[in-house]
Amino acid sequence: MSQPVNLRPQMLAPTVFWRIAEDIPKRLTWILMTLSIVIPVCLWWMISNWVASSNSMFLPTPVQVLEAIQKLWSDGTLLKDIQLSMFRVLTGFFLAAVISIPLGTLMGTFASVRSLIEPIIGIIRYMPAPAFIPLLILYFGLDELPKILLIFLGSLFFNTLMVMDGVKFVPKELIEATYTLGGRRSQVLLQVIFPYLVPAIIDACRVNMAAAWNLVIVAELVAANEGLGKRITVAQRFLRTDEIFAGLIVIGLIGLAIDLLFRLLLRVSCRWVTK
Amino acid sequence: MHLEVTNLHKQFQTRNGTITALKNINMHIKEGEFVCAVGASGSGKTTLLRIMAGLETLTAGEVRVDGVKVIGPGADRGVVFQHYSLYPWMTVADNVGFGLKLRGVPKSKRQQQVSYYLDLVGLTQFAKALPKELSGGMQQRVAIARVLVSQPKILLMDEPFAALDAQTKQMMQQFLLELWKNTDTTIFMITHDVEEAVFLSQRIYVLTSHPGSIKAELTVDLPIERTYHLKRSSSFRDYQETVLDLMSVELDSGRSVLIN
Repeated sequence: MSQPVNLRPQMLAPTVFWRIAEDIPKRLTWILMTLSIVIPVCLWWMISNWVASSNSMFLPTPVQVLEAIQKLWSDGTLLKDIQLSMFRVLTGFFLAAVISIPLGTLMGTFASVRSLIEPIIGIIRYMPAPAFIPLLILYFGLDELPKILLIFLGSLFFNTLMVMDGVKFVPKELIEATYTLGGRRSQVLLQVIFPYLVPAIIDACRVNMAAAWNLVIVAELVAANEGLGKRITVAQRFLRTDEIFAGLIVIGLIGLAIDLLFRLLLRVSCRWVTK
Repeated sequence: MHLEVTNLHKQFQTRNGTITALKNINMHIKEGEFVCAVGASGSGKTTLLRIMAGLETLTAGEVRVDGVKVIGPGADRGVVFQHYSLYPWMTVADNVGFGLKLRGVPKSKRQQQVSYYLDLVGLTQFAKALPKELSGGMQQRVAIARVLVSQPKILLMDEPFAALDAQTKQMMQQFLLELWKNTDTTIFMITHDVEEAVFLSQRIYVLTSHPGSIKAELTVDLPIERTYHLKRSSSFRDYQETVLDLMSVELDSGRSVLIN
């Protein structure tokens, strides 16, 4: 006969901030999200103004960065940079998506295709994209192509693997139900697996588009004349920290905008997804 | 239409050796019948149904539909799964019409059939709803309509009402019985619910467990017109008890194995 253990008689106290897997009040969410931006900006403003007295090159103030942005915008360089960088990233990523989505779907669906292709992708994916730059310049010169190809290489393998992983969530019964309705394998692939996969594909693209966007500065190291990445490299050479910050912030904001657009796309096109 | 299961054996290979899930199964189902297989969990009834549906291979023996050996799934053997398996991105109407779409039936003809069967299962006003907006019972009705539209030779049902509450289950049983009579379908259902089996079927196969084999075959001699009141009649209770006795004898023997 075991001795009774002394257990603390305790009820779980309710909380607002520390709720697990539950919603918090909307107002609190907005306050916290605003603080997330406001606090770093305030800290930045305080520290930079304190440092500015001794060495303004070191840490530009928010005001200085804003002025740099304004200057770059007013003479049209910023707009041109944004356009070029977006063109390179979007083209490179689009090419990667066009290949990775079907390939990932096929790999996820057929164990045979997966066994054939996954090993080689598994190796190449760990080769850092920037390391390909010398080869790309050698093979394709210094124009737009090597830059686009770099973005392409950087996105292709991860996107393929993420799409492939998404297929395992297709319920087996759904596939079996299709067979019992008279469906052939090709129909299962195109009319059952693929539609089910669409939210996972959009989400994979969202994540990998961000990675592709991050590669823009690396891609533009390939002898670019203009572009956001180029702008930062040039600013580096002239120690224009305010322009470096300006470039970084613009890149960051555009990346965020792309992310939000993908989230919107997901919500609008996939109403059937249960949270 | 005639479904014959002859000397069916099914073994699984596991880490701990070979497990015999089904042994010596012999069954037949004739056109227009409603046949149930009752058994406890582990009696291999789901495996049996999946083999009949062609979703699982057998180790020995064969299954034939109208003389043709079953080697894979097909629209001649429609399946209703326990968890509905509706396509979540499609509306109810699209779900119901999907079987026809897969087989190349043009849209106009599909719509006609879909409306007919939606009406038959009483879900016409939910044609444009998504599956997630429906209750369990309604989703199961959509699943049933989806299969019926393809006009299978036989409807195989895998414990279709196990996931429903008692009242919905009762309604669905009544609904299925009406549907069976009105559409002249052949139905084979597996269930662990003895009351359900006696209420719905004309013939019952009682399965034992470990390994699953047919202990007995009963004919249920109750009137075709059945309502839930029937469940209280003495003849109904007798059948229930008979089946339960058949099942519990092997339950007892199972228990004695544990004690030893």
